[in-house]
Amino acid sequence: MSLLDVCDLSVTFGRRHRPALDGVCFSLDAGCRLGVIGESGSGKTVTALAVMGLLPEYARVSGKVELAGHQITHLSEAGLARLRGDVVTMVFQEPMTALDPTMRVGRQVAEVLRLHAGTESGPARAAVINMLGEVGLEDPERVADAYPHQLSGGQRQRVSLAMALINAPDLVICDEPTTALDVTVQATVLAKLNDVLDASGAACLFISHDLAVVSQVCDQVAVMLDGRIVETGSVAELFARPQHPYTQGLVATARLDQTIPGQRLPVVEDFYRPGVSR
Amino acid sequence: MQLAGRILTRLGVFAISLVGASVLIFVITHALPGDVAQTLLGDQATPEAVAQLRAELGLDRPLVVQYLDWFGHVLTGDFGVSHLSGDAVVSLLLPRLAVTMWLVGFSMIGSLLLAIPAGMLAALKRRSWQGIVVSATAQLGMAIPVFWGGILAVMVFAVWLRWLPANGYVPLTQNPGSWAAHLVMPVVTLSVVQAAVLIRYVRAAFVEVLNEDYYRTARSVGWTPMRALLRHGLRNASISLVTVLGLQVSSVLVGAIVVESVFNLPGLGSLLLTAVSQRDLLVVQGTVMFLVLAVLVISAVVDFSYLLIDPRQRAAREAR
Amino acid sequence: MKRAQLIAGVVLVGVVVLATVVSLFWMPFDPLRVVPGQRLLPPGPVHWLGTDGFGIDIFSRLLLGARSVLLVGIISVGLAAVVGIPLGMLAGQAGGWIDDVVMRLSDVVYALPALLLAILLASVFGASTVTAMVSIGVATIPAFARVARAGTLQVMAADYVLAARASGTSWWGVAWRHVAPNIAPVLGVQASVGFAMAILAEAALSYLGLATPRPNPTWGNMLRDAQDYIFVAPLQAVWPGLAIAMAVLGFNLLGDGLRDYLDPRLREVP
Repeated sequence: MSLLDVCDLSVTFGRRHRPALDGVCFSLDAGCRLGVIGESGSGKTVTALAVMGLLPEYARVSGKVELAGHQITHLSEAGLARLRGDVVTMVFQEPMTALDPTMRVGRQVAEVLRLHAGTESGPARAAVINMLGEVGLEDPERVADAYPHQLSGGQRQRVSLAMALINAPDLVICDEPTTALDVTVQATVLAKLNDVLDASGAACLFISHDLAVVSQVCDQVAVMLDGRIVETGSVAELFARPQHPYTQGLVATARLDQTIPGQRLPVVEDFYRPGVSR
Repeated sequence: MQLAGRILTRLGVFAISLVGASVLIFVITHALPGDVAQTLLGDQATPEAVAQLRAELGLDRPLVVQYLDWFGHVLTGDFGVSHLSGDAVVSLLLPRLAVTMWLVGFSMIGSLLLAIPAGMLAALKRRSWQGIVVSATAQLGMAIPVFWGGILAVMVFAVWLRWLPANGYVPLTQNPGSWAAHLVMPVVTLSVVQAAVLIRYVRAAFVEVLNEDYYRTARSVGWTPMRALLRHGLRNASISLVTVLGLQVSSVLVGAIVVESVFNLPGLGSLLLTAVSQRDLLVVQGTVMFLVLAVLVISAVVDFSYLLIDPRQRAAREAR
Repeated sequence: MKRAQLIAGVVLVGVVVLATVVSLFWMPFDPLRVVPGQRLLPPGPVHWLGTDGFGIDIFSRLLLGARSVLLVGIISVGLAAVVGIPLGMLAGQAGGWIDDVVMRLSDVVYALPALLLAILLASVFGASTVTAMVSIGVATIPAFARVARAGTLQVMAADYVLAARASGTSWWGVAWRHVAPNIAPVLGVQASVGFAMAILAEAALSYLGLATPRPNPTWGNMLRDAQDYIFVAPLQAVWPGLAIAMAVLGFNLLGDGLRDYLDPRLREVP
């Protein structure tokens, strides 16, 4: 049985007619990594929030989301809260605002540990410092006592990662975790993400608009367009034989090394025009 | 460095407001048509008596000299002398200060205890009926004049149920039980009316928190909405609420003056209203100046307290 | 929902205006003449809301009181708007030291709430409708100045204003053609909310005996009189309070409704 099983998931917000998600199906086995790729508005983040059970209350959800044997769409708020942070966690895009500015980061990480494991403050602190070191933060003691505004974007994103991993979850959802970072920082954070996921054996749902970034973390990819998954497969397969015109565009823009010098750079619209194929 | 600048700016605002308000008070009492000596003595006074009083009070000096003399005394804690009784205004103020302070202090606390949970609920449930009920109740509460609220409370709890005394005051040192019984209705009345105004601000501050990424982070690691809001919202919302609270100080004081009149409490409000009816201009001037000074000091202190709440400010202070 | 707010506001305000208009032409009884034999009558077919401690018909006094509510509201809000809006626009457009001076002045006035101003004025001139209107009006100036200033700053930062200024439009031209029309809606909201505040302030002042003196009725001084009979005729202390609450609620709802109606972006602002 797979860890995460999403079947025929549809989400509509308010009175809007076009659904944000339209019959999405995919599954993810324990310890595996799936990249979800698509442009903004394609439904990537809505999928992630649906798995977390964090969709706003005015969202209308239908279909099945089964995580580690729990029906997410049927759980009460308290039941969901027990899963979040323990079985499933999430790393968000914007490291500058994802942490409480009025609380030391060490305490924010420790609270997650205490919330689910009930650890007393002595061992909690040791575990937090250990975790902060594991995600590649230098001088974790000092970082633990810092407030978010005293840290750089890369450091904060590592703290978010530590928060997500501290309870050894089965599934980590990463929503564009490196998009807001500098390119150089991006590479080191991605490398570290690979390391810690390997070390913990957690499964990962990795959301990005950038095929190149996804290919560094995941082996399987799902391509989303207008609330549907239009193509799935291994990264290698996708690069070699993209089927959907939109995927062909994505591959072309991700493989700029294959562009003939002097020619115009390819754009997705060369391959897929919104509205034409529908 | 930035923090030092902020403190200096705030102190500057305090000083300018104090001087400006004192000039305004002085101008209203001295410079507008309506001679102070004439007002004090009444219409029947002989010109000689008026002239004599003018000389006594130094009203024949240039206005600027009179103002500087008066304001200098205010800064040293001398708020003038009652013309009618000959008592120093300070000696009239001090025995009544306790009543007003109890009323203002308890009402500030009471209004926060009411408004923060209600505002949080209104924010958390803003799309369901609970939130709408809270907001609508606040809207209704804002429309109720504080003195009418007091009169209705008297009708219910003193006239009908006979649980509490309708009016009057007993000092704490004399009989603590009776003191509390006499203060309950005034404090609750003022708290409720004040809370109705505060709820909108509390709600807005928490709605802001609900839209913050760190709230979503807190939810994603397993906090329930209420606990996430308590853990991470309270402190963050209080940063913006402190500013509102600073602005509320003067409206609570004004409310206290009115409430004192409803319940016949011997506080600063009753001192002022008696002085107005007796046309004891110097007592009015001194008491108003004292109240303005108190409001300005409290607002400044409240404003400074947000430096303690916000670590971004605190860090700036440590770095200095 | 939002629409309902606006409609409720219009209806409640309409009732106050209607009462004022009716009072100009017709009142069931003389609201000023003392009738010793008719004291403290309960509500009935003749005296709809009963009579007060002087034997005067309460309904007639409420009608007459509506007049003073509108009068004090219009004059004090008008005074605050006429002084505050130009000052705020000036501060927002000129910036620099002019802005500082205007803002510090508004801090000074802020330190003196309407009640304290009214107490000062009443002790110098004696309490009257005029001292109440002046003190409420002056105390409301900063609110208008701040709203006008904030709106002006927003408009001044817009590209079309920069373009107008670059092409040589005069200070007055910009103020009249670009700033004024853009900040008018917010000022309308402020006027409505300010009106509600003015009604509350006037009621408090007349309750304390710092506004319109007797025998002229205001809703506030009617409550003061009713308080003396609270043990024998408690209903007397209900009607004027209900009238005040209704009027204040009306103007607040009107203001909120206008705000949502005119600009949905302002919705979450308290």
